[in-house]
Amino acid sequence: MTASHPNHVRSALALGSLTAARTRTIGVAMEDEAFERLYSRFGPATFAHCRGILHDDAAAEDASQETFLRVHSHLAKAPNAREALFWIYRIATNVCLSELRRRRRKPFAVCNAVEALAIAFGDDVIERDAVARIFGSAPGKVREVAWLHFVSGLDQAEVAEALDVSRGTVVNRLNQFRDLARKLLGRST
Amino acid sequence: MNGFDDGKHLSVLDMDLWRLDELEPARITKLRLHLERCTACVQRLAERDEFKQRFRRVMLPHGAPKPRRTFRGKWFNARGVLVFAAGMGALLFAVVPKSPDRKSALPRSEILFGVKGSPTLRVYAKSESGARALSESGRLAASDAIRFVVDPAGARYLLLASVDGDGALNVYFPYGGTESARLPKPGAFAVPGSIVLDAAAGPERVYALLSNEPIPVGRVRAALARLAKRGPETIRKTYALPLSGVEQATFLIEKAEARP
Repeated sequence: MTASHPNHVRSALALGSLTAARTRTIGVAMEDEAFERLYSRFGPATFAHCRGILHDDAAAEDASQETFLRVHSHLAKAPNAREALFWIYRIATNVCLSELRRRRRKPFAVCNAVEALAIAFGDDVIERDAVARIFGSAPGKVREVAWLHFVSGLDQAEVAEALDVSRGTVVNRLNQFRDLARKLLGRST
Repeated sequence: MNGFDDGKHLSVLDMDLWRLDELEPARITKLRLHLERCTACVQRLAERDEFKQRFRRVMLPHGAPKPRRTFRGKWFNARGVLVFAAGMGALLFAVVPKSPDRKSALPRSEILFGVKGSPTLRVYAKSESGARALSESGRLAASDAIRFVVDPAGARYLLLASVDGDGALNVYFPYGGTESARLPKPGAFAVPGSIVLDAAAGPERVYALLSNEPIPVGRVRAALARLAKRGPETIRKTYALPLSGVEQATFLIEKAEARP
């Protein structure tokens, strides 16, 4: 505002600024409310997925918050819950498996991973150490595909959709994982 | 597609969609039929549900993490903010006296503890090759010695107790006490002394109960006793005791038969 403006113009300009500021404030408040709703709806599945990988409440809390911050804009645009969950699985699996690798913890000593691999390879028993070595040795993209397929139980098409890759890529990476597992377990291909 | 009638187990997608009321009706029917005959999937579903309950109980009350907002103002507004911040910084520099020899009361890592997050419980086992951190569901033999380290995440009182598959209840800290003990300082706390496991094989679940007021031991024993009656499998899957106003961390130990 300058002194050259008449009073009514100065008032209108001030009101315009206030309205714009208030609109921005209301806009931010509405965004926060929508964000909280998304968090309430999809936060539980995000945490459950992270907890299933990390087996540690505190680590899963950190990972699920990190996941949610990365994924919330996609959740808001997802046409349905299925698409939203694929985003969660994709980001959360990457975040958690990267965290395990970074910490160099002994990961994957999980009953369902052992059972899942046993079903996949037709063995009655696969030692937990072997499970840890197989997953620990696999390259990141192969590991994510293997985890979502063997442990989370998604079929190949669902894994492809979750990771936004072709089904052929999923098949290739699963074959790489199987080859690695057989090599580490000392079985012929 | 993942069909439940072809020998495959439920996927996390099926479980999550079902709980969100977004699973197609035909698949709901198949899911229910599968759960009637697959105890493994029943347990997996129960475990996932418990994780979700934990989220609602522990994380949701604190609200969503704050998203990063991009600045949408005009460039001259940004410049104004920067000028203002620089000015305030200069003012603070002028006002706050320099104390180059002043040290923090706590190491930085401990200052950061308790600012956010939930408490944690770590278990270390003493073996012939030295102490090692135990992973969840780690197996130990009777007579193995273990130590506990708790990060209280800002809480002031700790009570450490356990229940095993034989129904035995133990209060490890404070030993012999009637209520939670006040922690000596913020930050990670190593529970004094080593614990020698008893001879009973099977699960033992340890709970670190953190609070800002002391909890009576009797209240905890009652909750553990109710859990003990439900058997070893329920002990394995119960990640928190039904105690209001208490933050919890838990750890499952699987005790193997004693070595000869």
